[in-house]
Amino acid sequence: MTNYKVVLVGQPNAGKSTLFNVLSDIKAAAGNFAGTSVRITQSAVQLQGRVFQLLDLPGTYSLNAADDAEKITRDYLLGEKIDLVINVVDSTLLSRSLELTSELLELGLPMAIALNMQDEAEKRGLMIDHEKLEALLGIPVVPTSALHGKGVLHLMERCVLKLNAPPTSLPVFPYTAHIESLVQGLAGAMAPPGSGQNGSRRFYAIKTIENPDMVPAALSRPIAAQIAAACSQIRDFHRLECFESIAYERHHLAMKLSEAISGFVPRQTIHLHDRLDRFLLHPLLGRLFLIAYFLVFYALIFFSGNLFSRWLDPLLNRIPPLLLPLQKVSSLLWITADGLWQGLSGSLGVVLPYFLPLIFLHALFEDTGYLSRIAFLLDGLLHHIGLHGKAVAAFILGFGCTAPALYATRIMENRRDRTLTALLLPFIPCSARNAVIFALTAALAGPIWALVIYVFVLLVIAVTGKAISLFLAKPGGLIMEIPDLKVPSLRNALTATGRQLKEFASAVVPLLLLGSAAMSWLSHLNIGARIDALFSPLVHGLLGLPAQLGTTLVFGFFRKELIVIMAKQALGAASLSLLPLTSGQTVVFLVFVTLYFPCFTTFVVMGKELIVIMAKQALGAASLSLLPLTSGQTVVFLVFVTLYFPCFTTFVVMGKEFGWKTAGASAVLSVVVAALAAYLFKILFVIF
Amino acid sequence: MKIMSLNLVPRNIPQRVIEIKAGHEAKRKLLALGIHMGDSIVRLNDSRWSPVLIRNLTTRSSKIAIGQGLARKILVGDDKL
Repeated sequence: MTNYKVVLVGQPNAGKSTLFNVLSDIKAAAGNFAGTSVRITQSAVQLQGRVFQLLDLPGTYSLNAADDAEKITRDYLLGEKIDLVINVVDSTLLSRSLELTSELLELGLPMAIALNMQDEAEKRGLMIDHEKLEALLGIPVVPTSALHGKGVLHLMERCVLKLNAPPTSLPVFPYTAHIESLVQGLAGAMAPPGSGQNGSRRFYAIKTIENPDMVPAALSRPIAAQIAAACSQIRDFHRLECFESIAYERHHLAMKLSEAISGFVPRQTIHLHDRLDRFLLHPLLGRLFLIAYFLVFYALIFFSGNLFSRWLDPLLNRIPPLLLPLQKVSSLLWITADGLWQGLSGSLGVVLPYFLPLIFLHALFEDTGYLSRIAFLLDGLLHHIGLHGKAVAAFILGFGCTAPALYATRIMENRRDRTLTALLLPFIPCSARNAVIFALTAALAGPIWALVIYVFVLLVIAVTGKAISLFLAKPGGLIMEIPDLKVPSLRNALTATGRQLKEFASAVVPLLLLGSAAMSWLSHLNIGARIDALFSPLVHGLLGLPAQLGTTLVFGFFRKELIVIMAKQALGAASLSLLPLTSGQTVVFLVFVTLYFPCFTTFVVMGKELIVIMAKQALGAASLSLLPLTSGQTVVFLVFVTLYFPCFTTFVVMGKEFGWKTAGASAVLSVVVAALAAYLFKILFVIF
Repeated sequence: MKIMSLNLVPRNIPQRVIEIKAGHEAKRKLLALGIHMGDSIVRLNDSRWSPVLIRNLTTRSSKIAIGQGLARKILVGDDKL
């Protein structure tokens, strides 16, 4: 039996991802590439003996993509073999959602509609007659409530029926007479679209007027004169740009449809949302709340991680003595075992305690919709460093991991804004570096220093952003939807945490073990000392740190070499894949494999000093405090570690998304900024 | 009818969108988010230090944030009878 390919398409916040999560719970084989909504997510779903390839495409307001995330969806819809499009419609925003629906109808792929959040719409007094919509459009229309899992099975049953039934033609809704005749004229004159290209002649005829960039030259060039004539006619007649005229036509159709199928019963609506927003978006109170929110967020991670780490420490300390007998058997065996153990105890005792609360709280947080409110509050501030509010989403994600944050810049419409955001992103401490900051400050300097480092890093970002933007044009303006607040789902957060933990255990921990063993060997063979000597001018001379830390910083580069090989293999394999984002998805894979990889760098960075100690005592807060660093040195070191180029993954993702020149520039920039910033701190410590 | 730019209008008084003087990119985005000429909108905040927050009353939309700079380019008129 064939493997059907079913895609979810809808406007942002329509509940696609929630629906996707519910559906992929019914899974056959897991092929789940989770991520933010700026990437294609897919999963195999088994239903009635059929295996479906289900894909969640990034949310898009229309097929006239405005940003790179929307382009992914558009390109996928135009270029891939798709058996069924499930158009996820936000019932609470019926008429606007139907504009995308009408565009999808023009595209002409087999379609079904999930009228999502219908319960919510009803609460607000919007009664929708889904049977009438089904009759009007001639395609399955199923009311769903993805959040509560309602209607989802029925939707899938209808989809199976639809897939098994012979194809039906979709309704054509004519435009205003004079535009319609122009469209028909263009469609008639146009050559049929090539094979492997979705979309009817009518679809492309409309797009020649509305968005010529979308139409393959093979279709538009032969009739260029006719297109120009049609456009100038429309312009003259409507006194609007052509794309505006078409947008108004579609808006009009969507309004007519929504009026035909829905009735509005004014209700005593609950103004709780609005009242909450008045507080959260208040220029003063909202910002105070934001600061308090972040303090609580990170304090929670700091203290729970510290607690967890202290609790694990005695347990982990029991192991090393058990390894000692190996020393008598063979020193090589002992060194390897010791290295492996350090890697394991490091991941369990240092990284995991901080990593776990961070990813869990992050997952909860992303669910609430507060992110767009932060963007709203910080828009003005970000204008000062040459950006606007939308950069916030990427920055906040960057506290988790830099790589997905780089993808998240896709929601920015403007190339300039995107690149600047991406250049600043590597300076945001990711969860790995957060763990190091927390672990080391907890052990050596105290929580207040963690705060100082954060504030300092943010200042560095501001200054760097300001400096770069002096050479750039002014930022674009902000236009952003502020979706309603949602109560975060504990289940979703736990699922996301579980998924990331599994990745951490299966992909990251082995690498930590290997690297740690290699580190142990390096030290045994005395190669480390030579590297230390080489980097001593920077590490010891400029920053005033023990020269032995040099190897650990360089070790990051060894690891990067390793990943290059993996990246090549993975990229080679990806060309076999049928997805359009092959290399992108490969990188996504790499992101997973190397997610939180800076942990490794930073862990190793710490590890060098720890090797002697760890032979006696497992890694943990207690042993970290034995590090021969003063609190001043700790802070200098942390500032450098936090700012210097985070990891190879980030480099690859940046190269893929922005070109290798940008990635190279970013690498140089971050090392220079890291050295300067750490030096500044050293000077401060000398003075005070 | 008094016409002014969106960044200057007070809170909670319905306004009709008269003209959008922005560039193509911004116009497309506004249309995609459901802001059309002739729509009745209402401003929900009145801070100069934040973007302009509006809701489209015609389409009963969600809240839309528009940066101060762009709001200056959107002309609206008092929508009272």
